[in-house]
Amino acid sequence: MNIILYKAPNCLRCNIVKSYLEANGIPYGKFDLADDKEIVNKFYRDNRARLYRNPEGVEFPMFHETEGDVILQGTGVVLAWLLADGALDGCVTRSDLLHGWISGLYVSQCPDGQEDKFIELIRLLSKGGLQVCLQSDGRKADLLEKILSEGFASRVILNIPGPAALYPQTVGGETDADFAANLKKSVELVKACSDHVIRIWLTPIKDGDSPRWLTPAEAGEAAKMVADACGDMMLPIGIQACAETPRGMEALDNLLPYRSKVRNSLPKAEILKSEA
Amino acid sequence: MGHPTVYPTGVTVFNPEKAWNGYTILPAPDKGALLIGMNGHEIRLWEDVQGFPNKMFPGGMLMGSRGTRHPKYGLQDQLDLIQVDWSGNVVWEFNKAEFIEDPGQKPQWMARQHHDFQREGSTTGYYAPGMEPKIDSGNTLILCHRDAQVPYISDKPLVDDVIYEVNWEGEIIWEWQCSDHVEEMGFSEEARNAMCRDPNFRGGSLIEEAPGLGDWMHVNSMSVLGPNKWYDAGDERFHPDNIIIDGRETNIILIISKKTGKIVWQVGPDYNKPEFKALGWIIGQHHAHMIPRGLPGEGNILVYDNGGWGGYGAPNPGAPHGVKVAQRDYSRILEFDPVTLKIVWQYTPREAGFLVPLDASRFYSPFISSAQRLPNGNTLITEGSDGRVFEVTAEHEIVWEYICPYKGTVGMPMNWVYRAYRVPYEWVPQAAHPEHVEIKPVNVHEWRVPGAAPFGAQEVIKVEGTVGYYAEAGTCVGTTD
Repeated sequence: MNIILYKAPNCLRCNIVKSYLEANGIPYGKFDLADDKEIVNKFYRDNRARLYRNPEGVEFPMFHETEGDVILQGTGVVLAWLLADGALDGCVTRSDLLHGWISGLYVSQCPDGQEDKFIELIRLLSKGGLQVCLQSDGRKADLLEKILSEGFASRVILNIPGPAALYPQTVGGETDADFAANLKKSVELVKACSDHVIRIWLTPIKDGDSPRWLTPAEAGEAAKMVADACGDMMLPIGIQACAETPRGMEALDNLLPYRSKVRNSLPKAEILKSEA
Repeated sequence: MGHPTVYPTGVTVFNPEKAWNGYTILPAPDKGALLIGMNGHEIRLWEDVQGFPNKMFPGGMLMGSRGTRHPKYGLQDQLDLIQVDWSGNVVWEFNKAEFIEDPGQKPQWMARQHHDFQREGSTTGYYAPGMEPKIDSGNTLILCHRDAQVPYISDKPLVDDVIYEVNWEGEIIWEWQCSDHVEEMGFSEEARNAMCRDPNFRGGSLIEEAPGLGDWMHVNSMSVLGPNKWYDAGDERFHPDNIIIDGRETNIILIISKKTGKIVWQVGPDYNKPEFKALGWIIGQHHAHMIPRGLPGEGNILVYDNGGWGGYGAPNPGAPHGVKVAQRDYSRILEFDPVTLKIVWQYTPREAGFLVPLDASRFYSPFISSAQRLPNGNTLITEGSDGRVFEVTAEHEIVWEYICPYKGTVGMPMNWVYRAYRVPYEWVPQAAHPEHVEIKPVNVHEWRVPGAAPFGAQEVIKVEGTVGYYAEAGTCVGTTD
């Protein structure tokens, strides 16, 4: 491996990666925006199609493994690659949170056999000083329990992307025979966190060539699934649409029909005004 | 004012030639929804169907509610809004606004409806040519309550007003929350200061130990503009889908855009502004609505300007804390042009034949009340606090009058009527309306209860040097005429 780390000065997120590399004796080169501005900028310009900017600028650290020409960005994604060599790609994505928080960490999508590495990743982020926002869709409740029991997560979001039958098209992967039990346990675990959100999460559904939104009726089915699993019709639950609308789809401006259907099973449902 | 303890009830005046004859529906205190004929026949009572308000729709359909939330936990929240047929069968209902779990009460869905609602097909819920509310389909706009915390208004918990549009299946498909638009309402710093301290805080005022809630706006009417000449002329503020509401506690009447939710037209809260001078101070008003197309005065705003007390602002001797700063002890019915803001017709104590202000409080209801424009140009007025419903011509002649005989025995001990509506006979095909019998106004000089002596002095003595009386003689208080 031939690793180059592009970092910013006084960057907590960069230092977490740097510490990991050094603690594990992994050789790397580094360029800091403060000292090597032209080199860092050139790397960004040359690879801008593979990099992104968050609302406050370029996300650091940027990471380049030159032998395989692997370019990565963001603390979670870089650490996940270093820990599992791509095996955690499906459960670790870019963070939408700034200012000491990190998100893009999906417990339920963790591949079987990778649980320990996922826990290690969360531990590194938390111990490194970031506040971790964890997301679940009700699957892999045991993994969620382990992470929470160690106090690594500052916020937990339980996303219900639709009825179980639509999980493959919404969040990917199947639900198994233990799903209801996992969902029940996940609800209990998430409710116990002081900072948590449980929400019907409206994301585009892959439905042939043309993606579509979950329908209000399907949201209602999802709510019934939650109510049946946890046995608590008074469960406070939010309803929220993801902020980005894919091309070819109309934005979901009116969530009231969703709320009406969800309230048939979970009367305390409310529309969440901004993305958590 | 001194009111007699003995007075006739029921219909006291009826001129069949000049009145717009039909049934009248009203909520009788602690009794239910009462449908009466022009001579006061009590045609039908839907017992315990409460009315906030009651409305009659075609086919003998009645709108109302099954009851109210326990007042310890809510302020004027109706459990539901129901449509019942002539026989009392519920054919439509809405309650799925909030699932409420009040201590010691049955957990249940609750509409928290209050003060008004409108069914698609009609803009105001009362008769206008070609505008019949649907009875077996259509959406319903419903004014409801919702608890809120809004630091811009106050640090105290608020009971806010929200409008839901509900489809025939009882699902909410659109909503508008009043406090979301408070910053558009133009409150002065003085008003905000007072409102922050006391947003019409109702804690414990209804029932001992009731939780405190700031009923900061107290919206008490909500209706649709419908097709109108202003919009036809290109004024987008008056889009037919737009909604007019009034806030009793702020003295504001406003129109919201159905499309954007923004406030697009408003009078108040400060009627000292030059543009509102011609209106005078509208205080604690009720039932502000646009007169529907097809009725005399169509497009104008008709409002029962209660007087009483309302508004937030600088403290004054009558409102030392800056709350309920505007005060007046008589009512006015105003019909005004929403573009020029000029009054085009009114019924005030002056038109009622009383001196203002000396005798003005003889026409006065400081709360509830309403005004309905009728097809012949008459206006049905509910002077609600004393249960008086009467119909006046455009020339202010009283052609029908009714005094509610029912007095609250469980709730307020008053014969109050929240709002009455005149209903065309054809909307109630099940009933054969009674024959019209003229009731001429009684000569009150001579009208006596049994045992009372007849009118007139038994002996008249002349005294030399007396000079008689002057017209316009000076009194302790001058008139404002």
